[in-house]
Amino acid sequence: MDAVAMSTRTATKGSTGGLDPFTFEIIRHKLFRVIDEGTITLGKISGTPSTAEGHDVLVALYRADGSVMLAGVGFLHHLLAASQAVKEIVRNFGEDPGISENDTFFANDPYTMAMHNPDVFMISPIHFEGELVSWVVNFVHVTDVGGMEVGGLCPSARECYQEGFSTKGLKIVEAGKLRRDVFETFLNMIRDPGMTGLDLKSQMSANHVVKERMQGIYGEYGPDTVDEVAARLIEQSEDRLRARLRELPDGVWTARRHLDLAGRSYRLELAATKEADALTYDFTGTDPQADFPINCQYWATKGAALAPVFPLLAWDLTWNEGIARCIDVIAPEGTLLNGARPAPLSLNTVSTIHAVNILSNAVLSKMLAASSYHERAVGCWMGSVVLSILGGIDRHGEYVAQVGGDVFGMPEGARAFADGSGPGGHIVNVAQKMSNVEFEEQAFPKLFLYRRVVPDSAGAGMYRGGHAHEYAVVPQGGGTDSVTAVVTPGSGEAFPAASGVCGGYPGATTAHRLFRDGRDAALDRPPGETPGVEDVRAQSVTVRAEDVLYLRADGGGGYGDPLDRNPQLVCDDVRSGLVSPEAAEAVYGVVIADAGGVDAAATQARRLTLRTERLGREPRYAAGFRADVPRSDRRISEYLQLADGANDAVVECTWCGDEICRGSEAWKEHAALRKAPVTVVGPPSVQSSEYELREFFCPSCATSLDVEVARVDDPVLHDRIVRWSLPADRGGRA
Amino acid sequence: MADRGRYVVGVDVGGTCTDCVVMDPGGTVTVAKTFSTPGDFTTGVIDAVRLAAGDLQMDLKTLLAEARLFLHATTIADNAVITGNLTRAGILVTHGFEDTLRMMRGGYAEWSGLPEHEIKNIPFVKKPEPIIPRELVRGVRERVDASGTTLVGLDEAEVRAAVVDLRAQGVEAIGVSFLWSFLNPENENACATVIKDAAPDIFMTLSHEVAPVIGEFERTQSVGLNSRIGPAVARYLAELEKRVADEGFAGKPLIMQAYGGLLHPDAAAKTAIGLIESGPVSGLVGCKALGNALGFRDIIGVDMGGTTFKAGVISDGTIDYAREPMVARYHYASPKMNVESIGVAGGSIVALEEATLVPMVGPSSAGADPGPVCYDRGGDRPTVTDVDLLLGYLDERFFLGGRARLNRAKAEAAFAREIADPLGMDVIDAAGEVYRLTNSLIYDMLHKLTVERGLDPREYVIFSYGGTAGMHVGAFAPPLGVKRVVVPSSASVHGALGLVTSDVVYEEQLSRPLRMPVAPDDINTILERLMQQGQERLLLDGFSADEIVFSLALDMRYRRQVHVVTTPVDAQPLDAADVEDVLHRFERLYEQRFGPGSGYQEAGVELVNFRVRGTGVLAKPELQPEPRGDGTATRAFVEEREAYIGSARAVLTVQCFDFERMAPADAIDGPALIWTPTTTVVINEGQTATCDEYKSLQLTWTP
Repeated sequence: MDAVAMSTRTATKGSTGGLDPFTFEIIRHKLFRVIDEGTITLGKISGTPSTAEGHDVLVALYRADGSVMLAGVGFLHHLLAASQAVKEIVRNFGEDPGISENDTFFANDPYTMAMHNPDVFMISPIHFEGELVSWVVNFVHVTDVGGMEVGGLCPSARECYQEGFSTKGLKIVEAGKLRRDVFETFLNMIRDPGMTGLDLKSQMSANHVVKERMQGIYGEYGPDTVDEVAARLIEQSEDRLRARLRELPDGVWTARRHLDLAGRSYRLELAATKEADALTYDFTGTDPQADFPINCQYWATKGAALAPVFPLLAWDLTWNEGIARCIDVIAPEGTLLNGARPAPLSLNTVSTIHAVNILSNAVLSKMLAASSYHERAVGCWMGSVVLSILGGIDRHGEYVAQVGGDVFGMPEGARAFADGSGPGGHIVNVAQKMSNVEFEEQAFPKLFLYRRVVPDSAGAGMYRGGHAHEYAVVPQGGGTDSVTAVVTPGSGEAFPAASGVCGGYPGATTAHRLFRDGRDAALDRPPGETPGVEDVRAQSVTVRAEDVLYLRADGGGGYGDPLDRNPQLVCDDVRSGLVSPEAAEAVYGVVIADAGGVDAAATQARRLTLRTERLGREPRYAAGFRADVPRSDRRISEYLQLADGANDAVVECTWCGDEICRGSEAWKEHAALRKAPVTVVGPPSVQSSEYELREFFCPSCATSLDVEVARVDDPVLHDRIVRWSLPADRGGRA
Repeated sequence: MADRGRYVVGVDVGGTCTDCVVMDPGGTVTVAKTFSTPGDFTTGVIDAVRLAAGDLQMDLKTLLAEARLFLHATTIADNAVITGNLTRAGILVTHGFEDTLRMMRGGYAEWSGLPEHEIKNIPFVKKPEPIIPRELVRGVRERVDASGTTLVGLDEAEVRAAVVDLRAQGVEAIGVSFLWSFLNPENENACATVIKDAAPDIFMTLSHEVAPVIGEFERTQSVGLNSRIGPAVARYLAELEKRVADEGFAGKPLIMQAYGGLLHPDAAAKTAIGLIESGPVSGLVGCKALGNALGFRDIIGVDMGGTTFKAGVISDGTIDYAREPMVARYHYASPKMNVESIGVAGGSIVALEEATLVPMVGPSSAGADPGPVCYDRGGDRPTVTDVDLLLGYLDERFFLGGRARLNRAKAEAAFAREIADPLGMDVIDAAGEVYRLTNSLIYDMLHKLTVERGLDPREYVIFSYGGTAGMHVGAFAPPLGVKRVVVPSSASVHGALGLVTSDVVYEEQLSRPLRMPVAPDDINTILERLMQQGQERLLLDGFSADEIVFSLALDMRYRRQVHVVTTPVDAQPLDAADVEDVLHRFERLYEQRFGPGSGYQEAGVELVNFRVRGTGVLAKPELQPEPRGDGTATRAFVEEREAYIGSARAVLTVQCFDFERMAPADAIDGPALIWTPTTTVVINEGQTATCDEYKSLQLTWTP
């Protein structure tokens, strides 16, 4: 067939522009394969479980100007930073020393591109017939960068100069040849150079293979055609995301997150404004930069804010620059989210950047819950990062460092139609997985006493979040009796950090403990009430042979009111040991009969009692089941909508059908508010009277409409929907 | 093994069809195909053998009485997992690790084999159910550490109580999976003694026996899977043994394993997970056997049927191991040959992405029911088979040897409605482009299977089988750089051919992480123990020592890497120089796979798994060549026909031939179509199809 003839026929249809749609799809698939191959190469060669199993990596192609051509499935918040890396390399080194064919730059400066020092970027220009036509960039979180503490995360750092090696760009490969001087200089400054050397090798190999494949594709289709495909893919993504944004209501959604770290509390604020086809995130109100290593630069913040947008709003689009174009991020200078030297940053990925992921997830979920895409709203995934990095001498007498793989199994948030699973993944990086216990014990001189699910830790709801897991390790079989543990960052203890959505409850809190002399003769016994327990958050501690290091993740956030949960699902959870019979009754109002099934009558009575307790009086609507309330076309959330009242629009509860307030009023001011200590959620941890749980109930039926976790002096969060635009109901299933 | 009779009978049971191949003492092969009989698959087995006996002018009993070997492959294990028709089973694990199965190593989406478009849609991704529900998992106090030292011994009373309790829950099988059991099986063995005593008739699986490899999640899941399919597999194999004995077979049937060898039914029943995907592997073994006869040792076997395109690689006569075997999203750890698949095949649905009108082929499939639009059984979404029909490759009057008619008008209307019209294209032009896209997707997959793993396709021959492959292989093979395509005459029963060319194999594996430098004797001791184990089993099976051969390999990696490279070992016992050789071989293989300069000895090298493959060679006749014809194919000419030829990107008038009437040495130059009873082979311009002496079609071209 004549390609020219065909392109004239297809020009009016579709959005592949002048390119014939089949060639377009063939090239697109090849580009995906190239990225996949690069990603596989990283995982196969790297020795770091965080690369091979945690999938803490990203491979992406960039156009000659540095714009994102195509990204793989990896840690999404690095996507923009890597784009920035290409631009910075061109700006800083384009003239001197210049960028030549088969060069590769190594860079990790957290003030221009990387999130923090251990994120090492390898940046390679791709030339075709002598001309620079595109870039391949990959990043790996390497094992160590020679900072104050092992593993690159340095809780003791008070300025960035204490956080290890950093560079804006070094040619590590020049004209196709590894520069040993550069390679060795870096390895000379770090702990466990063998492991990190493999990391770098994997990165160079990945770029090499991607470059080779791209040159093959350029040879077959020509660089102009390939760039045309890239440009079209970017346009398609932008056009389609903008079209989708137009389908969502216009308004402002707000979220707040505290970080309880090192004895104080840091505040992050986000207001997301959606207007027509644009989304603006404004982090004004966030605390000023700190002398604790949780600061980030702007690109890290923007990348983190954008990351949940990919799976929640752009799941069926190509992940590239087009998505980023639809979102504006405001992060005032001098704050935690847009800091300046010498603010230290090394813990940011496990604190502030993670918190920005969560805030973005929260506002997007509320926005989705108010739209025809309400099935896509999710509770908070992985409320806190719970991590230990170990350093010690193995039985061969060598120093080894290990990033604990448990961090890659944090619980998921509830879905609008299903429970979250736990341990699960991370909404901005689903490809990750936890290491096997045996793999970890073989690679590092330690022994797990247990690794198990924590009952009752999931955020309650009509659908619950995923359950957390807990684990305990002791030194075992090493060259010395003790090992060093960097336990970090240690957030999520003072209050439950994984919020629910649409009236769902947050998951249980985290725990980070060292049980001095806790290792009993019986290995299998949990440390329990051993004396000598130490709080080891955000510090580097020595774990002796007699000691037990214990960590517990937080549970995933719930969706909807737990009293609205199908009693049979609660019963199933009791049977499989995820929920205790006591919690079934206290949290879900489900009474389990002696035979193990649901006691329907007792459950109904119990639920009415709980609703009465919520209001401090008998609910006006006490039917015990959800009323058949007609859905208006102006959803606010699972249980709220705007409906036509007698004179004016009103906010009504869709569980009982009663009016809560006038449409022009802030509904939370008219809901029944109960303030509770945060201890009511899950197994207790460090408790603080600085925080409280605010439950907003329907004043008529006591249905849980929203649950806020707040500092006692925080104002109530209000969202505001300005305008709905409503096509037919759609779930967004692929 | 002792000679009992003259014939070798192989029966391969698939989901839809049951195939039989009988090899006579002269090496001549007779094939038969019948429908499988779900519910009682042994009926289909007997039907297929009866059909083959008929072709040989014998009755069933005579053939079976005269059979020396009865070799069998079955999908019963795969079916049980895929349909969820599983036995109730319980499992004992190390206390403190009761949640290993349901935690599924946390993050799971990509890892569980979902396609990219599902992975990206995270709110809709879901974990599979744990293979053993948590209620049936019991933790018992015991612990072995990473050095193999027992830290906590087994409390037999606790085990007994757990077994009694599980029994009361109605389990039919109990598995045991303790941490580090493959290094030190003491506690698992002690546990087995208690179980045998407390529940003598229970189906028992021990992790150090079924999967003696590092990684407790995969090992425990292997135990779970084996426990849940084992009893049904055992019952089936017992029934099969009885059926073939009733019909006159004097020996024991031998059962195909996914590692490409046969096992006695008792052993096969104990490690039921070994049966998973044994059918497709059997096809690869068939490629290897035919390759031996034809003089090819580097082969890419491709099987394109209705729902998937499957491919595996044979390099220098050796089939690759699968790295992370998985069935229905459950990973397990059992030695298995690698067969990869993608959802691009005859039934794959062709569609346009709604928002962009970008064309897509698969991965959703019309399956067998309703199937492609042209089958006229209610399917209304166009598929690759519909496209192949529109392009002129399928004879609508005489599909599958006349067993089915195809409705071209319906296919054309659906394709026009769904694809051509929205794109503003002519139907045949659009169909030709879909054909090009389909072949490009297959090319990308084969590229991944070869080039991306350091193999050079220019050194390989493609063996093409399955009903859809012949129409596409001539288009996707040349760009890969392969030099030749072989379409075996056994293409439709290729798995059964693999059976009759297989041997009895015990695949022994053991994880024992050791860091280089390692004293040769530390390696020799383990390899010898595994060889000893294999030798004993083969002797028990009736092989004499001179019928037994071993091949050895070590899985190696740079220290603390997750992934390993399987490195063959030639000498045994090894001396210091041999160990050095193995190390260099590892580094060569590593750089071959990951590129020059990727090796990094400074990190140190580790041995992880020891592999010993003990083969009991079954005496079998060589495949028998047929006499040459006169070299002209005119006697096979059927008609002229309009067909789309990919190399020309145009519809041409081409000659069509009937494969059944071709003889060895006949050659046909493209463009042409050759109709075989199960497929059409499309010969592009510049390609020549020659019938060889084993009645395969060999496609060649000038690169």
